[in-house]
Amino acid sequence: MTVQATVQSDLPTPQEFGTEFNALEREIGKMVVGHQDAVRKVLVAFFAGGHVLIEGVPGIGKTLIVRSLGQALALSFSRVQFTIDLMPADVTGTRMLEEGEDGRRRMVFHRGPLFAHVMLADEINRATPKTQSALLEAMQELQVTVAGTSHPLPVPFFVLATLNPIEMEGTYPLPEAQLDRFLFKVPLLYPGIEELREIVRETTGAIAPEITPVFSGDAARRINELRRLVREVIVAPSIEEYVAAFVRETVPEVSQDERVKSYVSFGSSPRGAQALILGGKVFALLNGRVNVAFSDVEAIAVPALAHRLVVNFAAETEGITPASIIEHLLQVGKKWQR
Amino acid sequence: MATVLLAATAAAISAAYLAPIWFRALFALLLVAGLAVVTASAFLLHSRWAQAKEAARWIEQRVGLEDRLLTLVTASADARSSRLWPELLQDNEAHLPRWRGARLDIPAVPWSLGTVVIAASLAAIFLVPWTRDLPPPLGIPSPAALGPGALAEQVPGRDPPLPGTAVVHGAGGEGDAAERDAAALAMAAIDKVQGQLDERFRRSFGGQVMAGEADQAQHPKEDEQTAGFRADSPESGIGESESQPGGAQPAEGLGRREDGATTGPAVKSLEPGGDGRASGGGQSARKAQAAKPGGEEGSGKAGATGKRSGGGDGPKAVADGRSEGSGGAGGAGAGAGKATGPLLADKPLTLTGGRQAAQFTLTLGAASGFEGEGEGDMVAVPHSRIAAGERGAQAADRQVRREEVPPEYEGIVKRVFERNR
Repeated sequence: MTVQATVQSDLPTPQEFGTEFNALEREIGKMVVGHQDAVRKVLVAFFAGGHVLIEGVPGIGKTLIVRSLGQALALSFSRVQFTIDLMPADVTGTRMLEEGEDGRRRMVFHRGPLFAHVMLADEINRATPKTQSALLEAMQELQVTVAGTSHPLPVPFFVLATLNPIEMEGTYPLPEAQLDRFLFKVPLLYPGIEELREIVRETTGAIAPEITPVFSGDAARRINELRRLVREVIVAPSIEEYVAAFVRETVPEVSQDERVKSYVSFGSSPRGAQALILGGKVFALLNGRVNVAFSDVEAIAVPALAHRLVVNFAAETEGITPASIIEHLLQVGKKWQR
Repeated sequence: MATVLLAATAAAISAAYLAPIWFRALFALLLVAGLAVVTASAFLLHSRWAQAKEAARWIEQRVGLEDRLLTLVTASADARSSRLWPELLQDNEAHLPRWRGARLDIPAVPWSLGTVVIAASLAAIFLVPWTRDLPPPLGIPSPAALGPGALAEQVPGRDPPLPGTAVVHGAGGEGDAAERDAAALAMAAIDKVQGQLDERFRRSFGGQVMAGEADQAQHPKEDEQTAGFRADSPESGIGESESQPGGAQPAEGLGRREDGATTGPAVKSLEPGGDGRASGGGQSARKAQAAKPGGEEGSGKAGATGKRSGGGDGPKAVADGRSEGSGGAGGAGAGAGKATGPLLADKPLTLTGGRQAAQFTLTLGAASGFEGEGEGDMVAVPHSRIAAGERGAQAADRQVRREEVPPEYEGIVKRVFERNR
């Protein structure tokens, strides 16, 4: 069921949103074989105005997804390979002494790779916490402050970080505050046999697929309009109550669920509720609705909340992951919907 | 609405099959039950009155609108100011046929309605056949005892059996429908007679002289019909008293007719000094009262009048097998003294009116035939079980002395009755 377009003003219609979203998926799908669900979640987070943390083993296509996204969006794209010796200034930019036309020398700010619409922070956990924290302000405030001067980032601004779950030696796990900045955490799984065959066929042939930008003209302006449309999606009070109850149930101190009390050390922050609502809004538009449904919230509960939960040692020894706890809460939390 | 229809149906069924007492009881029960159902339903509806939010959730659960309706109904003011709000309205309109077809009906019959249905069904199954098999109430002559001839006289348009026609008494005469008709008619006639008797009792003991002639002129047919029934009904105590020889009680009827008063019951005076035979309403009763010191004389005077009328015509009519004419009138006068419902047989009714106190002795049972020959020997033989039970106790009442009536006086009485016809 599609929604008839009667939206006034300059906002795109929900149909246009769906059309352009699907076009993006198709363009990225030319380069990325498989991972449709991961690509969709990345795009959902992008239009929701959040950032995504992609976790996967090396060579699985993390960087390819981000690069393909940048090409399809026709936005400025930068990539930073995080290493242990990477300094914050290498990301944000730095002030350098320059000599002007009049011969006088002054400090001039040189923008770092952070000043791009789409930034790939590859293997972010290999950088030191100091460098990692350099992203905090940029991801949250969309600005960088250097030497007391704030420099706004281009809008839209989208950070896509990758994590390597193996080779943990010499890495710095992201602090909770850093993790909480990401709207979604999307795991990339091994491709299946058919997907692997297709990857081999496409990447080893003579003809390489090309990505055509979806947005013609000022892509950034169009993307911002689509983002504003997402914000206009209507949420019923009962949905808000459900989201609030769900997020609160992840906190072991106040939770009524025994599994949460037993295995969770820290629950989700309010950003988790924001992620549920924003992600639900994009899902609603993709499903041809202008209202968020309970099913929309449930669809993005795991990527929106799993990385915000910190499980204890007992959970790790018993192999209980945060994602399994969220799925458990989804089952027992049906009563909060009514 | 269904409850009301069911209750009305049950009431109609009960009215058609049940006796009046059972019908009244069932009707009252249905009325109370109906009020209880309505009250309970109102409270139930009020308590379960769903708000818009609950109703929207209920529809969402049944139809699966992906929370479109819930959002539309429960959206806050901020949400209504969204630029996508018109889209939401349009979207709900587009999905309206999906849940309009489902309708907000009640899938199950309410328990209260089910209870009423079960109760009505049980009543229709058990109560009605049971009451249909009940014997007729006490005092109501059975159709078999009444006989088709008597019924025919009570039913307008139904011809009495011709003289000489063989009439079969007892079961199998005219079937169930005829039996019901006969019972209803007999009951109605007896009620009518009893009502008249009660009215006359009151008039007599109130000491009021009624405008008898005027009354007779106004209601001659009524008296004739009543008297006819009394004379003809085998179980009627009225007809039985008609056959009793003379005495003060027949004199009452005639005395009142002569004085222009309405007919009244024969009563037994309890006044000291009275002979207990001449009393009742009307002027002749007062005459008898005035002759208290020579009570026998006064009462004898009145009794003589009675013998010439009630004692004379009544038995003649019965002997002919018909109840009409002077025999009916005489029967009315005489029967008023003795006939009444069976309940008064056990307890003689004592009434006080003014300076008088009177005791009623009422006759039970009916005579299907007469013993003996001639007027003086006519004694009713009760055949019903009620009369048989009371026969011994009322034996004394039947032994009424009959006095000789002078022939010339009898001629006068007959002329008077001829005029009154």
